Amino acid sequence: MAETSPENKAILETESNVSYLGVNLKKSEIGEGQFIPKKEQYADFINDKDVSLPLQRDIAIAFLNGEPLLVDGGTSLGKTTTVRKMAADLGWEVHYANLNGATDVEDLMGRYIPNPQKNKPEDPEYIFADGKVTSGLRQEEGKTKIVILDEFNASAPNILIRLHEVLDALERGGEVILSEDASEAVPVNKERTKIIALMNPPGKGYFGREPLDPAQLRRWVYKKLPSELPENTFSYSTNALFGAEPTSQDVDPDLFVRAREEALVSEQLQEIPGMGEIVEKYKEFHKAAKELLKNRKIAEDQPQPFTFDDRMEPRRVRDFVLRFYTGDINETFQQALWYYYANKLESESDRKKLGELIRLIEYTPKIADSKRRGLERGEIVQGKEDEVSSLEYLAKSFGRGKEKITPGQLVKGADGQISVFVGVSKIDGSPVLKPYSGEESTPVSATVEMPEEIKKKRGTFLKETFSGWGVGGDKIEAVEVMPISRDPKKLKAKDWDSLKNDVDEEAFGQYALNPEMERFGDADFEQMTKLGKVKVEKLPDEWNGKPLAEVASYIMKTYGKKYMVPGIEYWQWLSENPDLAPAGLKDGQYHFLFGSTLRFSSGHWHVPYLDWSGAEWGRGADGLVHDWHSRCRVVLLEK
Amino acid sequence: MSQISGPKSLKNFLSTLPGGVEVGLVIAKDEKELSNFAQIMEMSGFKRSENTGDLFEIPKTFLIVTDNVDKNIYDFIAQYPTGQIEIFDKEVMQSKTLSPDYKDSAVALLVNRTNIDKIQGNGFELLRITGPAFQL
Repeated sequence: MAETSPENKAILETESNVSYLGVNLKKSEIGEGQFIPKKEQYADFINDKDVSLPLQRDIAIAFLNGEPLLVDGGTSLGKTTTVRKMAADLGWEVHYANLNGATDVEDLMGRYIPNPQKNKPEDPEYIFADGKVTSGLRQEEGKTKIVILDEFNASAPNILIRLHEVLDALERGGEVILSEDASEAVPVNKERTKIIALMNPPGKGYFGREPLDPAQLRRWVYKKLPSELPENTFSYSTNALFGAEPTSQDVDPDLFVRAREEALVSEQLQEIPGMGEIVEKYKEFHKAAKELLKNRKIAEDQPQPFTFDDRMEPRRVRDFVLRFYTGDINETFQQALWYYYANKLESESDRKKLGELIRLIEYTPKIADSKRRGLERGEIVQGKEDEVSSLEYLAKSFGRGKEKITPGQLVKGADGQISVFVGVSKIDGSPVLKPYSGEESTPVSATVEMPEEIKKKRGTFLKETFSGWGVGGDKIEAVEVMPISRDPKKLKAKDWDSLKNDVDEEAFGQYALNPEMERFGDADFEQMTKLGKVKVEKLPDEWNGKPLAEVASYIMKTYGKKYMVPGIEYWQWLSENPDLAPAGLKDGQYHFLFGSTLRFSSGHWHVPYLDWSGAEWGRGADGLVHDWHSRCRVVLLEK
Repeated sequence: MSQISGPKSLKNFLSTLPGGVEVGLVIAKDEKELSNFAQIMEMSGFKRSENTGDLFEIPKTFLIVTDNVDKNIYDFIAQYPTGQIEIFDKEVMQSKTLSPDYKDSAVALLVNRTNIDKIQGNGFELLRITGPAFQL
């Protein structure tokens, strides 16, 4: 097995830092002490990819941002152990308080006790002694302290109120006033003190746990874990304990979050391309998420109610962007929304529902304000002479910004230099070009000659499909469903990558057909299905979490010679003939047809898929930017 | 008969505790059985603890729990599997910490059936926070 490169290691420890899925925390200068857990206690700690590693990452994000974190999850998940294990990694102190029963405010905040050091008459009779929380708040040179508030929802209301005063002081970076000690002001610093509360779900077999008032949760970043280990995690962890799996599981790259070396300051935010657009979309998202929650469309079965706070959530998202923006504002924003919104949901279907909204929070760089359908290279490269004239034409249009340019097209700059248009920079929206060698062979695209009747029928089918995906009536009315021919097997990895970055809302409705499928009609598909020539392929697990653009390239390389790769033509036939469809496609998984791509209303290229609900097809398409996952399959046809 | 097989079984159970990362729970039917179990535990090398202070000091130990569980005992058991235990002494307002030596030490609670129901009813979920359990 190939070794994982250091930057891709789930937990990477260096002399001075520990990185949890890319989130880097500084070790304490003091490596050991009474309150620092010992590393050897965690020698067989299991770092599974679904619970343990994401939990450590999310705790690390909260620690890095100085945010108080409330983790709600079943007892078997090892919440306290995970925090202590991280403290052992980092050499940080743990100050632990279990709030279940017989805990009073003074245990946490301190009180006067008879002076045990009293030797002389002038020594005070009583001295103030710190409580568990106060000792965690006191700043000491070289120390970072974690205050664990375990069984948080078993706590008495007066304790919660006092703790919220502490949280407010930490947030302000001010002082905690100890009313227990003649109003002593204790300076606090969220860089030095991290607060994490842990709780078991209210109800669900946990005695005495009442749901907290949602208003009390607003000060916390709330993370919902499952009530028990998911089946896969249980299986993996058990195997790991018995030596059948490594103690640290391989993870998908998209689980990583990369923090900046130094946080941005808020004045720099407006310099990020697309920030205005994305903030507008975020505001809409926040309202929509609140509505879903209010109407119990999400989190319906969660015993602990919560809210998406109008003041706290935007602030947290902003702070996340300041810390984690590394050039891709879409990715950073979406990660923040997963962290502060979707992470609060327990069920996968709820997270998926919110995830669909999160995916819409996207800044789409505009190349040009074109009203014209984009030229494809096949239209312009006819021969040398035509090429030059086309190039000149394109050069003008490129310079004026009037014409649509698609990846792979040739352009001539003001200096006369001919280049290949690769895509649009994610950083600043500018066009990315590479030198033209004169022998570019891809991508291969051309307009399609298609009988008018088929074109019309396909157009109706696609318009119905778009409508089913929620595209509004006006857009459907206006959309020009336009086929092009593009051989997916001739596209190289870089071409797929270019397509991934090729975004044009005005080309909505454009779709690419695989030329090798052009000769097939309905009767052929029926015959091939009867002959058992339809193959459904599950890709190796290592592809899970990789973008469809990358997966497409792999599929063409791996299966292209032996199989045909069907696309929209077969998608349509299957949709219209569900009774004739092979049983292998009706297993409830998502079956992708990589022979075609189509532009959705967002302007991105998507790959169509079908999934069988048990009674009918679900028809969908995923963007080339989106990730492949374990329920995805590839549809192929034997030659 | 159970009087012959029972003690042997308890001995076997106790021998499995060192090396584990959780506190064991021994449930007696009544006070008489509890007293028998206590004797067997002492004969098996488990020394009786009277309080949390003893739990910190004695490597192989058991503690008899009545219906009124001390909060520190509960905290001790809850934290035992987490690699570090911190118990706060409210009298002197000081914490004591321990990193359990899972390889060579073992802790068991001894409780009768009536009391365990009361303890659970009071919100201290002994059955949840302890690991292996034994009863005849």
